[in-house]
Amino acid sequence: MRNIWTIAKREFDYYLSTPIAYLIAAVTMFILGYLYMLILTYAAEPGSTFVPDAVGFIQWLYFPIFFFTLPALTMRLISAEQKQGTIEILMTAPVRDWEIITGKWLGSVLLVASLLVLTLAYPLMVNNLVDPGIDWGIVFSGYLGLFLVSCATLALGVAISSFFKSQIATFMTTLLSNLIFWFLISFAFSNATTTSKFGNIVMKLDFYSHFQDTFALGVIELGDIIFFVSFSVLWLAIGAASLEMRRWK
Amino acid sequence: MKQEWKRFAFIGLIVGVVGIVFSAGLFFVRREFDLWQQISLAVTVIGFASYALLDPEAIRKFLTGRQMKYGSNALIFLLAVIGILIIINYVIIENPIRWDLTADKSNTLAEETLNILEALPGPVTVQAFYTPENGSSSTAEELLKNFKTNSNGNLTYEFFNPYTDVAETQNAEIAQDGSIVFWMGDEKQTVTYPSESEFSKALYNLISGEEINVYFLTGHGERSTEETGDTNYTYAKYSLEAKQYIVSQLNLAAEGSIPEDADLIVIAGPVYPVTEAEVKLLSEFMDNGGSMIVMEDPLYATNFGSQADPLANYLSRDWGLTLEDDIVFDLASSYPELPFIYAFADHAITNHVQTNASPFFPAARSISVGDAPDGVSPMGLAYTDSRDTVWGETDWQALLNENAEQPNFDAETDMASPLALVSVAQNDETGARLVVVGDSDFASDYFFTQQGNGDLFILSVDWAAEQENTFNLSTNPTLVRSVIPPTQASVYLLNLLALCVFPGVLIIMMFVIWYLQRKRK
Repeated sequence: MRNIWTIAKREFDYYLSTPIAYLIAAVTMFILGYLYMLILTYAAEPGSTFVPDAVGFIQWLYFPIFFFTLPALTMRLISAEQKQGTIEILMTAPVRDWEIITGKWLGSVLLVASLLVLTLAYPLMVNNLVDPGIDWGIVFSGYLGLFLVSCATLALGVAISSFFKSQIATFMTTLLSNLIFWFLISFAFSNATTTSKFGNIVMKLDFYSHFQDTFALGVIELGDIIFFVSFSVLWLAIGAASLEMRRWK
Repeated sequence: MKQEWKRFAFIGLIVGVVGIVFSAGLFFVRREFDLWQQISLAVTVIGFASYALLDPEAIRKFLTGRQMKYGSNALIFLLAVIGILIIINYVIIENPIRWDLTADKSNTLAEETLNILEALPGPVTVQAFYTPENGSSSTAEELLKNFKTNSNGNLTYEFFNPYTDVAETQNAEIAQDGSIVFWMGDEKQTVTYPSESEFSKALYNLISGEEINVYFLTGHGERSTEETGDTNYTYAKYSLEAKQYIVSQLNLAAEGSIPEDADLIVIAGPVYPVTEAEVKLLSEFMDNGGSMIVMEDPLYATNFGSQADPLANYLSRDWGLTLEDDIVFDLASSYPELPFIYAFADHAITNHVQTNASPFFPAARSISVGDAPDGVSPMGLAYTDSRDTVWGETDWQALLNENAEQPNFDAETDMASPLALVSVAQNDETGARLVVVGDSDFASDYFFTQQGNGDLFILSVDWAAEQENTFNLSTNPTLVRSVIPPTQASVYLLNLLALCVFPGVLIIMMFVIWYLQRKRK
């Protein structure tokens, strides 16, 4: 566990010492700030009956913000080490392969968690516009859902990063995988779930239905939590296996 | 394999990969395992087999190399992980646990629903019949999932396609897409609108076994519930029986009295007038709290001729609902004498009619809502559009001539739109309920499953038979939130904060980090 934490902390410190994390955070805050401005404009209109809530922030974080930024965070995790040749040094250290993968994943998870905490500023500001306040239950479940979606996507990204030396290839493949799991499965099979056993099984892999139908509505289902945790565990295992295979070349 | 052929091996590999991609794309688009799918899979197999045949050395190296030797261990490990995760997920899916964190508990079932689910005496199987095109299936599935979660394992559900799952559809006697059938043993209740109250009502009816008797009047050329045919009402009858209504025919002139167990009388398109004596019996039935649905077609479609219509007079005098002697035209429609409903009044009947399936009436007469005796409250329910091209033509007899000109609206004699084609009335003292419709074909077998026609008829029966009052859900009180309008100054300040300060601080930090990095180099 100490090795995992050491690697995670190193990755987290690296993010904070490079411009990329701040750029991602700035863009995120600006986009959400724009949404907040729209909310403020509607609320300030004379005679307005529009009652703001935090749902919009949760939706916008899901797409487009995290959709594009999470692949950007994971693209260098293993790929850069492979390209620079430092992966051999890492693998000869007294650290297991799954500890490397998990540590790097955890580092990116910590960064995303920090970003989520930062974005809480907007629900807090919206809360002051509403009497007696917004529904914090929805905020809690929405943010929990976003955190779990991020964990799963980052695990996928770390595994893909272990396949390629090129960061661009990692980024594009992770983005494509996002597209499949976040939207394409739902688009292709949502109608088929009513009639097709195959469609029903495939739809269980759809991120959108696991997030939108529950977390985004203020409902937490144990099945959704288990799904995202399982997805994360599976791709971390695949990433660890991918690293191990390097040893046998 | 000869060396010179080995260089073609990569072609086989490419063909195999292209075959897989093409096959996947074909399935994505067509969703069926047809001949083209089979061909593409065959091409895939041939491609990979060619590669193996042309360059067996590469295959041997791959299969016996270090990577495969150690990789097989990793593969087994991954398969084991996948297996364990599938089992865990399966167990959780079959035994769902959920928490509703909303302040209003808006995603939690009402207490009455939970009580009913708790009190289920035995297993209940739900069959939901939805075509892939029906957008309500996700609503139904979410509700059923919630019901299942709270049923202690007593309720299970499964979805079927009414077009392809023929055996199940026939067994459940399904008449329309979007039907949900609740089975308890051999008893069933059918619901056509996915809502918590409808589902709970269905379960309640299954448990309580309450009987509602509906009598269809006969003897005046009304539409039959016993004989099949496009103009008859067998679909209506099957749909009512699926909801545990007991449907019978009543020849009032022959019987001389209304059965004591009658809860609702339906008069579906009499071709000859209902007699005064029969109207008197019906009036007494209504005075005693009975309910009635009257569907009368435009006069040109009947044999009323110049005879009086005692039933229409009774409806006008005692209930404030007058069946006008007109034919409703809508010149903007493809079939001018086939008006659609454009607007519904807020009512228990129409609140559940699906908004994307507007009922229509193949030749209808309008209903005027006027004064009624004390205690009677009539109202229009379903209206045509209010355009100039929609009106109630009173000089319809002139249109029966072969050389008749196209009808035009005459402001002095014709009925101006919007026109009510369905109206209701309720006697607050006796509890009697009345539904009047200016057409009877809309619920006939030919039109029953089209648009929202069948729904409108069934919902009218439910309301007239007071079925919605047997089950009232006490929904969780909704917390009312209101906006605190910000002042202009605070709007500027907050916008500055959100758009400039927050992102700006991070941008500054980004440049500081970048500068420090450069300085270190």
